[in-house]
Amino acid sequence: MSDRITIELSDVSKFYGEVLGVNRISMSIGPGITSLVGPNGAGKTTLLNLITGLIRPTQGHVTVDGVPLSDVESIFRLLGYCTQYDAFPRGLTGIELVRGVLTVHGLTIREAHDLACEALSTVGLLDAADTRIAAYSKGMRQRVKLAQAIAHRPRVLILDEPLNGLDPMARAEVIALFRSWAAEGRIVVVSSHILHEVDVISDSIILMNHGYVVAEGGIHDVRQEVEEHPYQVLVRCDRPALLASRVFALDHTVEARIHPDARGLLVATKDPTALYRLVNRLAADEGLVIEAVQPADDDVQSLYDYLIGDEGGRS
Amino acid sequence: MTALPGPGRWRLRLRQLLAVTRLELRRCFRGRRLIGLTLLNLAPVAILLLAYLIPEDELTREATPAGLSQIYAVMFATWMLRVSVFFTSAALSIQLFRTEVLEKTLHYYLLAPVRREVMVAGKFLAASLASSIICGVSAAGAYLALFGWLGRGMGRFFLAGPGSAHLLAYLGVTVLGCFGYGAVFALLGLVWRNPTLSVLALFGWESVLFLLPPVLKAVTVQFYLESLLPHRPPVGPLAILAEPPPPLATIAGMAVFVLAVLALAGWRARRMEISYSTD
Repeated sequence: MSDRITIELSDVSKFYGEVLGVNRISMSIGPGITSLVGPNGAGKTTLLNLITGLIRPTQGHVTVDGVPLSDVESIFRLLGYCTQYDAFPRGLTGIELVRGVLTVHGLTIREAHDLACEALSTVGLLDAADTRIAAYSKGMRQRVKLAQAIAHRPRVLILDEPLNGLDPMARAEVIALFRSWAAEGRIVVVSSHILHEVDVISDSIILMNHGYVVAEGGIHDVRQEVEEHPYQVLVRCDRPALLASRVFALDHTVEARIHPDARGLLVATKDPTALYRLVNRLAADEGLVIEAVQPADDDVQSLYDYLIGDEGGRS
Repeated sequence: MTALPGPGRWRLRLRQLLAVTRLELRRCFRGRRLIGLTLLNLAPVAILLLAYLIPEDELTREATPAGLSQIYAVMFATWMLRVSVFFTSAALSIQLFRTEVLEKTLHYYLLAPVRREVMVAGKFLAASLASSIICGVSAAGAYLALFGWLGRGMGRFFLAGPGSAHLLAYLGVTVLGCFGYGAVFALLGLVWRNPTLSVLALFGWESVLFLLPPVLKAVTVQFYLESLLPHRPPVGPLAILAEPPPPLATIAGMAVFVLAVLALAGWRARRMEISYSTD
């Protein structure tokens, strides 16, 4: 096992009879938070189930830290999976579920109890540990699933829609947890349809549609590859009209609109570097006061719109 | 945040086996299904206890150890072995995987670092132990209720006669039956989405045992179990007789059979994929 852990997918396809699940996916996922984004039926859960061995690829193979999925005794010590299934064995309390699963790992009941308490405490559920899961709210059920996934301290966390059912406060706490896990060098793969949150937490994204990976990598890198859509740049300044008159002189400007508050200009350009140069020149030569220059479509939402758009029926 | 250190591989697997067994035993003794199984198993005990409504001297006058032994042998073979043990094992063993797939909870096991063969063995062990306990209590209860008809002679039958040895033999056959059928039903639960038809087919097959030629008798569980009974029940005029193997060979054969079926179930479990939406 290496220090820098990776998930490797090599030419992985999954067919359900003649129905395509995912097709010819090759990629490497490293430490940090990777978000899996796509519309319903894009193949996100299929991909996660393939990575965790719940289903087997029709072709290709998956390894985690060089360990093939067939080596279950090793792989599931590395890997924790919080599934989308909101289902639990009947009659169990939160602590019984987490502890029970840990004893199946081979831990003694005492060891399992300690780790289960630690995990439930991490997700803020220790006070309700002895309450039956059937009496939990949706958010608590989501958190007990997270506790079960992290209890054995895995280096790889696969989380399918982990923010579902959580209130805003709990979401912020859980996102902070993801960040701390990623900061420890773990791989955190998150499937989510809440795009603005994905945008905030992700180090890299995987965009999927119809079983194919449409794009993958850092958000900025992916954005740069989408050449057919001009960049949207918002320049906050004191004289947007002056800026507008000058940007149309640039070859690559597609559109420019003065912001409704008259304190900025939204420019669509195919050459943002030329725009940045112009803004610098205006500031230096003509005293244009610049408050901010920020990309307006360098985010997951825009990438989703550009690469998948209405076809995906955005959620 | 690293993989947890573990003991030796086989020691670890033994711990995992016991953990699965413990969790599954709790599941077996939970739920409404247990009420039905208790009623099924306690029915003969309840009927035998009803006999105590008859005045004691009338009850004990006709009762002899030999006669009661014959009554118990018939009752054990026709009801307990063919119905109670069979359906208790079916109810507990078939659900081991099927119910978990329907309730979408099997992934908790499949995502643990445990070999699927160990998981199958643990689940099988729990279901077989649970059915052995339920059916064993019934068999012992019925035995005591029946031989209580001997009145004061009961103590002599158990202490100086063959009562205790026969009871142990019946309990042994009960346990063997629970493990034998349990293995078969665990496999059926893994193979079929709806195993009910296969259970009924097996019940039919085992029920016509007495009509089967010797070659086919050899592929029934009942044939071997009945051969181990202290008293063979009468088989009727239409029965085709066959010589059973010696007891030790029968027990060893049953053990090999159970292991072979479990190996098949383990192989099947290894190939299992979770796709709840299609189940």
